[in-house]
Amino acid sequence: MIFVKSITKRFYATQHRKKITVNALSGLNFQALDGKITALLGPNGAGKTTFLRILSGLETADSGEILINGQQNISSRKSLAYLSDGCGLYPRLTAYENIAYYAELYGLNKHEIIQRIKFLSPHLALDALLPRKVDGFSQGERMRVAIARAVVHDPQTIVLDEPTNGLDLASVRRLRTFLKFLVSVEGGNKCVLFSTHIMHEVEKLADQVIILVKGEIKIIGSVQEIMHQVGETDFEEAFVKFTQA
Amino acid sequence: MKTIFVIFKKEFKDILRDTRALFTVTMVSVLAGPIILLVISNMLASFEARAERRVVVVHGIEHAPSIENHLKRETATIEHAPDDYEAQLLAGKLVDPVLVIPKDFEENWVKGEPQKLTIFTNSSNARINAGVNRLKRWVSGIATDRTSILFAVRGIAPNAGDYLNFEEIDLANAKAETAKIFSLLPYFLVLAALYGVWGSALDTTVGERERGTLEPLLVIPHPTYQIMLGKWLAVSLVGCFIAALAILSFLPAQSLMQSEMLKSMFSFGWFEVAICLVITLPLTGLFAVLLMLVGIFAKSTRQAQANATVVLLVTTFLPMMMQINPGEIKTWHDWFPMLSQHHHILALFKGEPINFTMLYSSLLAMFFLTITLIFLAVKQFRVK
Repeated sequence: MIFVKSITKRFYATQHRKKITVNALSGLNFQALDGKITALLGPNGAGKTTFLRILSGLETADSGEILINGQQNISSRKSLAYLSDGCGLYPRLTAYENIAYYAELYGLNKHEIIQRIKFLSPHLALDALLPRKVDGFSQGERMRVAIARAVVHDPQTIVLDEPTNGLDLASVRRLRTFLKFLVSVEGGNKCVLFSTHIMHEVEKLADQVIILVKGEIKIIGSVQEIMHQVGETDFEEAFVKFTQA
Repeated sequence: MKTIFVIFKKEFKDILRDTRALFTVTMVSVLAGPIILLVISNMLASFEARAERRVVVVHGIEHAPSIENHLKRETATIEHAPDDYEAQLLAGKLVDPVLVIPKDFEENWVKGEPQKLTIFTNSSNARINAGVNRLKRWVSGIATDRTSILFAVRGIAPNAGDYLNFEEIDLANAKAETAKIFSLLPYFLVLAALYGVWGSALDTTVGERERGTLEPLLVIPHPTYQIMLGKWLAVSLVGCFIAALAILSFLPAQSLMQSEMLKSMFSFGWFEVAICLVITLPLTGLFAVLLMLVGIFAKSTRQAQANATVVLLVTTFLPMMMQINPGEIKTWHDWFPMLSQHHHILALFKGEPINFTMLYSSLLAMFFLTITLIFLAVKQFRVK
């Protein structure tokens, strides 16, 4: 579970030779529950990536508190999976080596690594990819390996930054199925939080949606609740109303 | 410790998998020194051969039968200079100085009048200039002979006119001469240490950021120093391997040398190998962390490579300045990386005894500098 309380982040930029302060995040408060998929939805520059970077410990918030599974984020990062939007992999290593490297860093032994990769392989269709060097993989193949790498240590909380970017339909469907499996009881009742700006993805996947605009949360609720709030039957229209409000 | 080892193992494997870059760097580092050694050797061999062939290039030898006879007695081969000898000397097509004899030489010589001969040379061409003294010596012999005969006829001792004689004693030993000839070689050893870590140091830092692999790595809750140390050890080990190969490559290269003189001057055995390894390998570690810092501060690989050229410039220019303006070796030179390596390797070639106290102080300085830079890199790795 992710518990976010009053998270604030400011950046300093220069505009017309004057220093200005940009409020990237202004007092975010929400909870993402175990066994649920939470979507962080917002236009470009809304602060989605900044928030996810703070959540994963890559950046620090100016104020506020984040608890992951009841712990402060630094000590709880072992139970966190983070997938950045670039899904960076080492091109000269094989897919297996890429995944095993992170597994080793998370403290898994050889036997555990083999078992985890065996478990993940059918879910992400990795069999044919594992012995191949990553250099030359398609975007979809890279994403599958990157997700396997992120969850190889069986974390309770999974954070994905725009995971469907540049993926074909088959890859998106496979990812969707996998994420749904992760939040199921068989999959370990995980907590999944992902950022996106694709409405269709949110409608298909999210149990809870957080609409973020200019660093502020506009609304939290299910897709149905958000549409109902503004009296729309189309989720895209509802989103536009919130972002323009 | 386990994290350091895991990161080291992965980085080491990753560097070795970049076979094309590794092959190029290894070839350049390993072959550059021996190739230069062979070039110098062949050049000296050709100098030796030229010194043995005793050729005098003369313009107007028909005007001086007495000089012609004298040179023939000296077993010199006379070659006629082409009419455009000035242009050919300037163009480097003619590689011997040209002796020009005036038309009225013989007539005045017989009368006993002082004569003026002209030697055309090109001081910007070392090969031409090297023959000037030899030519002067040969030709002035005729005047010395004549003076001796004239003195003898008058009953005066032949050397009576030599009021002042110089005896030149060169204090430089054969090894010092070797050091002069091989002063380029320390550059190759130091540059091998730099090139060995160049690509991998940048790839493990700014390359990691560009690939997008840095973020997942930093999310893992391990202390940054463990990540940095693992990376530094891998980069340094590969660099050490390449530097060691570069040093070892001089062993077989010796047998390919053409010049007999050089063969006798250049003795590079296992003792020299061991000392060079002790001097060069710690420098590899220093270069590794220095270039990793360059990578950490850079925003892109291109920017990192541009910034890394500053390290390259300092590495080459500092010792070069010391060679252009040679003087007393100051104590601080031994505390300064790169200068200290040059100084010690040159001392080795000169045959001077190794001052182990200075060597240790140099190693100690490098150790502390490396540790400081690693500390700085650890600090900056997460911040940047």
